[in-house]
Amino acid sequence: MSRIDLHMDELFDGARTGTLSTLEATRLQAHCAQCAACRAELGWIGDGLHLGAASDADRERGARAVEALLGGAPEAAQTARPSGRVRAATVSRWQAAALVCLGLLMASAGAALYTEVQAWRAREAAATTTAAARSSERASVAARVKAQRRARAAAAHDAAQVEPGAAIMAPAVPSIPLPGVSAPEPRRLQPPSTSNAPASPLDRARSAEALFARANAERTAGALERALAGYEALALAFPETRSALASHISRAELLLRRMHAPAEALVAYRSYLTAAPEGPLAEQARVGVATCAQQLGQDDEDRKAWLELLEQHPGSLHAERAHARLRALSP
Amino acid sequence: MALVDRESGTAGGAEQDDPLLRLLPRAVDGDAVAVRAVLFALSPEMTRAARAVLGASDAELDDAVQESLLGLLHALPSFRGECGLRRFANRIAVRTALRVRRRGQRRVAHAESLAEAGASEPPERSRRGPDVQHLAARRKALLLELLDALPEVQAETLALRVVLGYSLEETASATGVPVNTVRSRVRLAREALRARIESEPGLHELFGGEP
Repeated sequence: MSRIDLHMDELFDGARTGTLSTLEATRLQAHCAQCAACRAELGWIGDGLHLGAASDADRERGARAVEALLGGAPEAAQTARPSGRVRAATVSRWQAAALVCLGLLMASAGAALYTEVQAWRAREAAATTTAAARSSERASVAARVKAQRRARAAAAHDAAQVEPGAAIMAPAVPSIPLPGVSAPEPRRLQPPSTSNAPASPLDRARSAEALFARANAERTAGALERALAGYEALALAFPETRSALASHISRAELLLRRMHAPAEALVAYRSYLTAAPEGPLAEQARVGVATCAQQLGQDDEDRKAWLELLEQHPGSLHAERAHARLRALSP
Repeated sequence: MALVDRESGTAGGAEQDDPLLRLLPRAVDGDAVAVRAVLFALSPEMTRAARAVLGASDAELDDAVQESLLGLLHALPSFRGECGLRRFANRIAVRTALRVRRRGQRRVAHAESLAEAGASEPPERSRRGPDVQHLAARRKALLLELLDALPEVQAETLALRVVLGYSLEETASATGVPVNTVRSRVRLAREALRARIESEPGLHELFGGEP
């Protein structure tokens, strides 16, 4: 192995993170003076190829890809990839009803054993149906991707023949309809040359509102875990929107009042206050922090939260409660 | 040297606290809301990784991103947490983008890369002089040509190191191979790069060396 084959990978790691000592930097430079390949790598580091973060255009392009993959609106996505558990539960209810009828008919003949056999068969059928359904879902999504690729290729071809920058309609097969999903409205595609432009904040706000409404509906329907997942999804996907901000409070209230998890609720309330200390729901968040702290036995935090409430919101409806609690906490 | 997680900006093990990990079991179980959240959260970085390999103006970038997301969806059940979820996803994006490049049997022309480099450069680097930008674009074009020519595993390793800036250890954990295997792949990639530079004397000037 020649001298220039002894590359200095660890030093390149240091060069990327800017943690090289003077001696290490000198050694790396000396090596690169003799090694064209390492000189090239150092050049790429100097160009900052590794430093690029996801841009707004990346976020928009990524979001479009997710929408295209999952089928558009959150409601459609909900139907496009239904939980296996939900499907299994639906199938099981029908089969259970059938078994009950069957069991009644056979009871007179004392055919309990026969009922057991049917129940076993039903469970097997449910498992098979669920597996087949999941397999079918994945195949459908893959087919949707292929169809969209063909559609984009056709759109790109068409775009070459229309004026640059003009929006074009998606071809006739933007997606393959999935079972139980009505055909979506054709989405407008942009020609490739303009596809890097960020979508409007209004679109993101609308998507966020749809996700928020879905989560709220699930909470109202009593599907607390799903509602919680929805709020988390919203905060992750559209953190800059007002809906995401409000979702911190919705999540916190859900955790505190209905799921009796004050520690997690406290984190959610604080998330809101960190993001919007003077936001429209800040008063509610501060009351929430105090309530959580009380339930957790954190007296100092409890006192601090009430004092902060009185200071930030002197006319608060909770002022009387705050004073009472502060009196109770005073030694 | 301390391991730094470039995606989250935190120490390597801190990804344990990633809220996405809490959603992961639900996503694997087919919960549509969780699937959506996971894909939304990971898609920007995956798009950035695919763009770095394919170029911002590539007509197949959308396909690559969508294929990457689909690949992630299929691969999620096999995620064992040996590396961070974001690193796992980014590796899928890089591999998919490399595959898309090869599938098209295409090579990025220098002129095309020049235009693309100008479009994708962060603002602070776009302020550099035209000569510097031109050289940087040619250097990037050389990297992309090399990625096309290398065997798949070497190309993937080089892309993770150069494009995503992963350390040896991070590359090893993302690709599931020992660190020495990563070293070996990087060394082989460098040999190919050196041969390429020596075969074309004009490339020396790109990196400030003597022909």
